[in-house]
Amino acid sequence: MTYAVQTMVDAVSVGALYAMSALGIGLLFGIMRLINFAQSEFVTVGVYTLMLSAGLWFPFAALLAIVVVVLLALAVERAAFRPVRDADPATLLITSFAVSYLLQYALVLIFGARPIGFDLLPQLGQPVLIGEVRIPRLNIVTIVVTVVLMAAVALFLRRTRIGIEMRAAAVDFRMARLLGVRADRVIAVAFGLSGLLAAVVSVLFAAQTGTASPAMGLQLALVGFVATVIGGMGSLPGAVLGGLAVGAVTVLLQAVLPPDLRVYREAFVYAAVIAVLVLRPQGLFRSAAMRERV
Amino acid sequence: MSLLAVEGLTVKYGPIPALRDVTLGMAEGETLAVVGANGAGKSTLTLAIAGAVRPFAGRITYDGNPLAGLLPEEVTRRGIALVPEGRHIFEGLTVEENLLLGLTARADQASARGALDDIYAAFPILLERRGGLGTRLSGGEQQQLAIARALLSRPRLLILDEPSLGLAPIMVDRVYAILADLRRRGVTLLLIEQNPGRIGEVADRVIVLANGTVQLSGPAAEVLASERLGAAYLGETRGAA
Repeated sequence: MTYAVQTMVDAVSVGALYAMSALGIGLLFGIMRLINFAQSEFVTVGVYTLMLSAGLWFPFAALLAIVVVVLLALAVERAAFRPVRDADPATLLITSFAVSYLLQYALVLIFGARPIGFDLLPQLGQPVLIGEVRIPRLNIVTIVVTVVLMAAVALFLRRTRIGIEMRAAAVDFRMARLLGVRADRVIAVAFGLSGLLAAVVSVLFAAQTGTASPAMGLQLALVGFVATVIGGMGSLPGAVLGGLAVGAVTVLLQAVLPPDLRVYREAFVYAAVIAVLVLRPQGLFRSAAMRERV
Repeated sequence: MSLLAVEGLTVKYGPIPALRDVTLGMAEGETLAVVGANGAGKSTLTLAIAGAVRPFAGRITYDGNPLAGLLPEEVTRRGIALVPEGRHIFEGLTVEENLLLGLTARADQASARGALDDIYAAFPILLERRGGLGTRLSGGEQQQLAIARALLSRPRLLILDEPSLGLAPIMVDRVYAILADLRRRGVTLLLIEQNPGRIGEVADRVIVLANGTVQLSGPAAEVLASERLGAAYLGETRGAA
């Protein structure tokens, strides 16, 4: 029973991290059909910023990481993606690979390829005892932060004018522009928002791993991308639910698979993804997402 | 002076021309209907005027200024609103959110709330359904929403691409009543229809488009009564009615 509860909490917290990655990718995909692999470097740069500011007062370090990553995301949009905005999705994808490699190898050039260890808030590693269940503080923090951030993003998308413009742009960009929605503005805000999500992920991820390495964001971006696909591309609630589902399945497989199969956990996850794509090519939550609205 | 002037407009999708050397003009307050078969280039014409597709050749002038190089959002802000074919109600957005987007292009946001109330008064069904999803409305209600949304930008030129397509006859009546009302209020209307059946009720002039070129043009009564109308539809004639 305790083990089950611990596993559940773990599943939700990993799923929460993936959900935020997926939302960052889903926002950009919805509006500009861009699959932004550089999202992984947004996270990585956030982690390096935290590594460099280790020892500073934590809220300040976290804020610094957010500012750096949001500015990076805006700069990348301006310099790399704006010139190719109207190109076909393949060009956008290749551009995002180029940006991703450029940033990754810039980090290698500056900091070297080896992981650098650092301790971000050691208190987070200590467990909390709830009855007999031991839950790492970090898991609780991850879940709480994700819930708060998702609620804030949902409010932003539902209650503000620019939020409504972004949701409209995500489902039908041309129609939104025909109504006067400024492409430059919604795309810049989408990049800023995905930068914010990446920065928050980087804080939680850095607290979890305690290292900074140049390729560490890749797994998150990949999972984020997969999550948007199975959630139904272009649907933001779908991306979030997809991220939760992939994270939860990953952790549950880890728990239920026989030990000698555990190393193949990812293979099982992706087999499940393929199964979803075969059985529901429109995505797992497409219709549900249409009813729910962010 | 004409409000809209299209001169020698050619639009290509890859190597294939969708419009070839199309010229037309619209005076302020006039209703011009463009009719033609599927694939005649009607929607391409609307998208080119709205800035959503780039012309290969030719000029589009609105209110004395060339529209070349303007983004769709800039064209809209100058007072041209397009209700595209298929209505394009935003999935996942409520009726009211769809309408709010129509206010985006307005210069004076201060009057926005009042404009929304006016629209609700003119389209009571939208007030009734304001909190529901726009895509849950019936086809005719969605068409009303699309028109209302376009009107909220307060356009001088309203372009409607096949507003009666796929609607029940009673809803076509409603849509045409709305168009007649707009016309009375002096809004310049560019109306695209595949079927010329109803356009006589509102159109001052009619242009028949086939294979991307103007086949026939003239006053509505003459064109619609012309014995060459059928041939023009098939692209087998050219000239005035």
